[in-house]
Amino acid sequence: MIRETYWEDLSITTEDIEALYNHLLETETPLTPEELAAALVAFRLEEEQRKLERQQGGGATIYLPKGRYEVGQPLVFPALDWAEGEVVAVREAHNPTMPPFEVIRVRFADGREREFAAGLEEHILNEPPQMRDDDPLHNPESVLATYGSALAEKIEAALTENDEFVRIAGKWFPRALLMDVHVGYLNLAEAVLDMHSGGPLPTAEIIKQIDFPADNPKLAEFSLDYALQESEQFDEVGPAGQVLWFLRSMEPQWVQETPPYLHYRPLDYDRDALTPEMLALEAALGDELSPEIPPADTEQVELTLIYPHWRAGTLPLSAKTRALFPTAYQAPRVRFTWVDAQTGEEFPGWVVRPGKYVYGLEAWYKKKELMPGSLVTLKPGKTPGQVLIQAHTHRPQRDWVRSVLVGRDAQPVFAMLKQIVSAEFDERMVIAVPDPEALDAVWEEIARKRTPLENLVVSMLRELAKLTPQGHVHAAGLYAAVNTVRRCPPGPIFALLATRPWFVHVGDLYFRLDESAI
Amino acid sequence: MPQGKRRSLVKPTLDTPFHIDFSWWQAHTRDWRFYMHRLLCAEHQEQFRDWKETTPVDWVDPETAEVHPVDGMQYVLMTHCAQQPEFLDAHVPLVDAIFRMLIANGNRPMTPVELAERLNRPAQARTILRTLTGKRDYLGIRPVEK
Repeated sequence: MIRETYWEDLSITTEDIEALYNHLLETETPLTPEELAAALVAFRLEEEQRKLERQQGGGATIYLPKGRYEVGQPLVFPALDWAEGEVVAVREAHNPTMPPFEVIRVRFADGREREFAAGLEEHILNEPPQMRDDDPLHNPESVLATYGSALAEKIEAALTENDEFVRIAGKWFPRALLMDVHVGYLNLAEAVLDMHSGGPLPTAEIIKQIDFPADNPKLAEFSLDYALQESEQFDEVGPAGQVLWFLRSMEPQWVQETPPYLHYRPLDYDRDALTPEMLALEAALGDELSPEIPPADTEQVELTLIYPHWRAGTLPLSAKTRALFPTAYQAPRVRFTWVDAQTGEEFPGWVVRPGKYVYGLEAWYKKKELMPGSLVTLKPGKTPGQVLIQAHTHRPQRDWVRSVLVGRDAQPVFAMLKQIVSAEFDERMVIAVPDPEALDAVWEEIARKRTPLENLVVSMLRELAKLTPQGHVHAAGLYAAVNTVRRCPPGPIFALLATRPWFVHVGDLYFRLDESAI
Repeated sequence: MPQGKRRSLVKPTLDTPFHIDFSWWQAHTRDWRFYMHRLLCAEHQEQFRDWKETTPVDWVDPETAEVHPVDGMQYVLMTHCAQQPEFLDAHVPLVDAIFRMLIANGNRPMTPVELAERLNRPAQARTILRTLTGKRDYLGIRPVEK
């Protein structure tokens, strides 16, 4: 008999861990927490059945409220987790609202005495306990459908704390069963990956090439996976459910480390100051450093490039874009393939989960002659490991575009200059950067001096205001301009716009600078 | 046990079950019978007009069939008055609402999370926990001793 909250309340016991261990020993196959949850449910149901049989076959009588009992009679209480006790007294009950019944006093093994009803015809416990398959709490499929995810999480947490288990790409296995992988095999694996430009290669391919003994292929694969994972030379870069290896030393520099343009020191600011319009714009901008919002449920995402990503050859891995990219159970870096939606050209991409960006677009940006402010569209590829990327290119034409230059005083200067434009852009956010290296010096200087954000926002608004007859600047344009000299998500900038009296809102998120108020 | 002193050194959490400790009521000067009399339905308020003395009744736990001798008025409150729809609908302060909820459920222990849900105040689980674990013992509502 399983009580209603049995599966909900279940906590993983030492016996459960032992059962899971034995299950993995028997199957000799690494399993996911979900697969282990199925094994756990089967084990627990068998255990409950055994317990029931043991109790029913034992000397003690199962306590039913309708039964009548004598002093000295041993009883077992299914509702109290099969606790056993002995009747030590019987008395008449006093309850004028119910039919007459008796009260038995029972002494339990721990010495405590409790009283129970006897000779009581109406009580739910009068149904003798039994395991019934049609009861959803006893049916493995329905238990897994309802509680499977929660059980998998509990198993994951319990195994993480247990040294006897190891995990690779979301699958668990007993450490003791792993094959010994000699360092020589690791050297061979390194050579194989080196010959394949660093990777990525699946474990089975590496095993084949290094002649690793594989009497039990799954065990061999998992053992080598574990050895490679434990070695710092190798990086597991496969998407969830797939193990792919890459030689860490051959990964692009900005996959191994976050590009300097994407470094951000979090700033305290008052989010409550942001207006609903500002929050909507923040969500639309999809900056990876903005607070998490519910992911967009869309097949296609349009992004406006900002300078830091344009310079680093990256795009944000934000709530807006994340669903399009492969993820992983553990791997911090995931290798995938970019596909140019216009030409079908394929080139390597990387999801860098800790840095919240995707990498591999530097050459593509150059080839498409994109600039900060250009529009880029992302769509899912034909296979899970592919992401389609599209620049809205057209015949190159010379056009007046907001541009940033570096003045003699090493300060950024904004001006409208004629640029060759080859792709559509966001009018509010476009900023051509003719000399990125010169801007690097400004970037470094601002970082070194730790120029306060507010000073930058004021100077950027002042600069940008010169380029329009009304002197009005859109919040998105200001965000783009600030990001040409330091990395900053929209939130802190918008909070300043909302709270400082010298930033005057003129409507539709356009602002002007009130010099007299500074 | 002096009022305000906790029985356990383990700090209660959102998952700690609370119940009404009737022994607390009896150990305090507070007139619990008067408080309970006010909670009775009109019919039983009349029946228990002389609320100062009642005979204990054997109350049977609906889940375990365990028998607890309870005060006669408390028995009527739990098995009849607290089962009336208006009992839980009353607009009363949070602590009284918790007390009523526990009474209506036969004093089955409930966690602050469960209480908040059952009281249709899902966002107030922490408030309930803070209230019940403050320096004062409210209406004898205490964590269940293991």
